[in-house]
Amino acid sequence: MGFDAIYAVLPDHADKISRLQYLLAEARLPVVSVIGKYNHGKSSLLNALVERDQFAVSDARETTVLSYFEHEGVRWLDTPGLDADVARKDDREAMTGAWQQSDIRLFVHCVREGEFDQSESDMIDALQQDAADSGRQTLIVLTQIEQVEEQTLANVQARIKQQASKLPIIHVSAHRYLQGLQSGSALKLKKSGINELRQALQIAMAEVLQTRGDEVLELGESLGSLIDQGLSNLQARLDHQQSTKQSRLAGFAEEYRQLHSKLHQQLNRA
Amino acid sequence: MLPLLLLAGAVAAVAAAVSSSSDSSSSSSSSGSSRDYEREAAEKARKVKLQANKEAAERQLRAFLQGKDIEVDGAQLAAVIQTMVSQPDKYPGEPLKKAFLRNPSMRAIDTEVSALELQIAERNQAKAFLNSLPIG
Repeated sequence: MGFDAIYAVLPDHADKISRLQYLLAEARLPVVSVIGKYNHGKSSLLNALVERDQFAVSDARETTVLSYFEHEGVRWLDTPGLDADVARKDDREAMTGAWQQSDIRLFVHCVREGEFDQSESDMIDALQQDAADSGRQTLIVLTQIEQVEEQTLANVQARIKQQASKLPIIHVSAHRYLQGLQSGSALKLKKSGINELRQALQIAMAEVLQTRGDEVLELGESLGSLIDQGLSNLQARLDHQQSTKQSRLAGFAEEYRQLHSKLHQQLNRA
Repeated sequence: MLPLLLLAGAVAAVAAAVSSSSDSSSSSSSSGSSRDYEREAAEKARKVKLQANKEAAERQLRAFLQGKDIEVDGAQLAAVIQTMVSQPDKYPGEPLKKAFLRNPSMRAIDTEVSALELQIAERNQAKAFLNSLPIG
């Protein structure tokens, strides 16, 4: 007996079960995953945050599986792109894995692309719903801000705010940050927005343990309730079947008794 | 004229009485075998009727049992009919109840019941495991 027993009776809730299993498995570092369409700067952002070229960056689609890196008490997780038109089975599995393991999600969107497209909007809706259900936080990170005018950035940010009203938005330039590091330019570092993102992450990470505890409780109650509902339905069906059996047997006995009485008279009539 | 006629009538009546007495004494020797014959015939007719009743009852009983998808052989049918003859009112005995419970529709219910009991056992096992986890 183990989690398999729960998977067997709640196959449609495998995501919840695996999340509970993951949370209870062992003490883990806070996990921050980066989600977004490919070539929107996910890996560059991660490299800026960990201040090294840890994650592969390319104009071609590089990240096709989950890529981990532990740095200063945080487990950073790079994910494949959200692009449905190019996503493969292993990409989808990687996304599912990232969804299961993340405590905090950074939803990366390149500001040059304007507002969210449909696939991004769908993911944002799912993340907002998950924030309400599990308490896990998502920060929207507008990237590559060095490539647009301030007014353009303001306009895009306003439109994104309409599309994701419940999530905080931070705009960054990983490129500026890395340049600032190399050149020692405090201004570039400041204008990169990476420190603001770090501060937001620190606030979010301070809540991870409590959020995990709350989530474990919520998942346990939710799964328990689902099992109980199923039990209740099954017991009702069992009672119905047993009642049907008894009722049919009683009906048969009564019909037989009537026939017996009738034939008794008929047989003795001569 | 009238007295002659009366006399003739009286003579005729006496003659008739004598004739009747003579017939009665001659048939008394054969009346025993005739009654036996009649009794035998009545008994035979009664047996035929009983047999016909029995066959009709068997047909009705067989149709009833077939309608309930209960298979019985000739000996079982005869035993049931015999019970019907001797007992005015009787619920089906255990063998017949068991035969009814073995029919396809009742077996289908049993199969469903077994499946449901298994699913309930699995859910109880899952719930027991969930309750054993360090939650809350």
